[in-house]
Amino acid sequence: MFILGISCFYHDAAACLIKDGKIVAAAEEERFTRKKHDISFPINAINYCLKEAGIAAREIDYIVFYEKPLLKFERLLSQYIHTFPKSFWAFYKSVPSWLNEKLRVPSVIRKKLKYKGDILFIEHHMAHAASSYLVSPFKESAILTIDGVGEWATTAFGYAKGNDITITKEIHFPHSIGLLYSTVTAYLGFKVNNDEYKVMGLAPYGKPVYYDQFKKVIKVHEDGSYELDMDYFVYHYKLSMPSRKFIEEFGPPRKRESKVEQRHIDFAASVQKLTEDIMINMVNHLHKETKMDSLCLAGGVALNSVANGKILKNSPFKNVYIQAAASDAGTSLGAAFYAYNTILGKERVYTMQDAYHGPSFSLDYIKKFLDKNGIKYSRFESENELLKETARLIYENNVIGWFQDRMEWGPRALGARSILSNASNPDMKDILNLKVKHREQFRPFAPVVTLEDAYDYFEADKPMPIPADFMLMVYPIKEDKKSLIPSVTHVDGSGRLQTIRKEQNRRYYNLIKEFQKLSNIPILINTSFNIRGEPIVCTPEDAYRCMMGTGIDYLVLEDFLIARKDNPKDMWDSEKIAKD
Amino acid sequence: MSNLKIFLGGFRKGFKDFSAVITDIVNFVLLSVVYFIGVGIVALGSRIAGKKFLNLKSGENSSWVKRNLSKRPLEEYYRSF
Repeated sequence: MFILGISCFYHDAAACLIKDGKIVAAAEEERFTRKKHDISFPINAINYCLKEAGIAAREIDYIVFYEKPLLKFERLLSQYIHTFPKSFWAFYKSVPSWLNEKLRVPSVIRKKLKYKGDILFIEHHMAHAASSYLVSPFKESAILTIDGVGEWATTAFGYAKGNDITITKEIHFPHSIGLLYSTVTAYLGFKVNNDEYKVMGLAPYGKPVYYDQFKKVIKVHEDGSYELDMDYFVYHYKLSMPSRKFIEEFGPPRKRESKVEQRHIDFAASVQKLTEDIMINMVNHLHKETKMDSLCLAGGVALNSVANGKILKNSPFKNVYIQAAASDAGTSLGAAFYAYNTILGKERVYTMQDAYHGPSFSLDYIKKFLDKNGIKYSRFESENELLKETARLIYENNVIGWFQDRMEWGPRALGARSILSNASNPDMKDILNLKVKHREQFRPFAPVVTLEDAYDYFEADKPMPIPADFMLMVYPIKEDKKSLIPSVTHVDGSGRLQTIRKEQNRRYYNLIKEFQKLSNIPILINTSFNIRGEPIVCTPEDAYRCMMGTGIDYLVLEDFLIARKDNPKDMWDSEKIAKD
Repeated sequence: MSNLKIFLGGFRKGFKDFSAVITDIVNFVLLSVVYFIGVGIVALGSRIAGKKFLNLKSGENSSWVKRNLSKRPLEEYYRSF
């Protein structure tokens, strides 16, 4: 039985195809269209999923959409009516897209896919809950989903047993911790729905001096719920977020690209601490109600890896699971699994242990691409030799584009489309920023570490939660190890690690081990393989273009090693088109 | 011939831009009517009747909305509401 899950029209459009309860393929549309956070109907991702399964659209048994569009539209109309006449521009800007496609989801699906079969609709937060629990290793679990907003819910909690999920309580729009975080993102001059992670990266440099002042903005109840004072916000009737009162309270907002001042940094620290406290308060309340040992988290706020890393330490829960694509992209997966396991009642047969569900490219394909374009390369027949050479290049402080096998699902590069470099070189952060990433100095780079070595370097939870494999947990680096891996040690002494197990990605794991033989350190810098402002690369063409447009020194395309210096005629400057 | 091509290309582009402007104007007029007549009347009526469409201030000790959302019969999932 084939079931296709789709999410689109808000942000991070994606598709996930499952066959008999196991993932065949899953990918975000942005990787194909090269538009970051593309919201359009994910026709390219769907076509890829169908190709991977070797089927036509008519062979899909069910297509499942990740939300109930009419309920969402009801919420929007309620906003417009409640705030009339202030909501005119929001109404004028958003209604055409609703009339054109968002209210016509079934006909859009049928037309684009020439599909005549069944189409189902799942509530947004139920799709989030399913995206985590139904692919987790747990037989029963408490569930917490937090994001900006779905139909009405912004936060939902409940529990799951066997195949069934029950949402018992919700917090409704406009009260939303996700939208509060986005408001601060906008206030700090970053892009909403894109740059929230920059606020999280900025926070450790500051002190939460605005924390108490924030209590005017948000009231946190003893039962874990919260309520925003909407006088500080305008997002319920405007296309912007903080209100005049918010600005009067906290001072003028930062202009985009202007200098980040200490006040902004402290502001980021304050909202981060507030988010952590609210999450921990909610998680503890959830445990009190469910008395369960395991917790499944989902929603955009579950990408807050700093908060995630504190949950087990500050609550009675013993296990936590977060799926690789915790934000809206992941709801396509949740919708598909909910239909299979819960609605149709089929047995759960799958646990998501790795995130490699995207396209891969054969050696033949890559060789043809290289030859056709006259690109100079070396081909390694022996994997051992390839890994030894790559490890040596990393050890000598080169920046490596690492392109292997199936692309990652979710927002993180996890060793299939990664840029790798030497974590022990204290200058590597600057080198990477200069050569490739050109990003804000305050943002840390992430380490990848073999699972068995992780406890030597990190003060992590035991056993290591699976979300650490998806780079969704931040843990403190041990005091005596900080100087060994300076390039991945954040200012507060933490690291957003990716743990890697041999069975997940043997070649990637072995590369780290080869590097360890040279450096005595089982850790590399792992950052996403992309040009600033573009999505992570998908194809060999994207990867080569990215290398030649940046300062990446070498590209390892499966068994092929390409040196940038050997192909100078193709060089160009990605910064000229960079958009953040 | 090439001059004609350039002219036709320019003409086509100009016509496209013109139609986009007309679409914007029509959209603006129609949506304004819908907003100020449709949404406006409902908004005024609801204010008179004291009906609130958004819960901006709960004023209570909890913001949780109780739900009991779990598995329902397959037929209910065909609905987009």
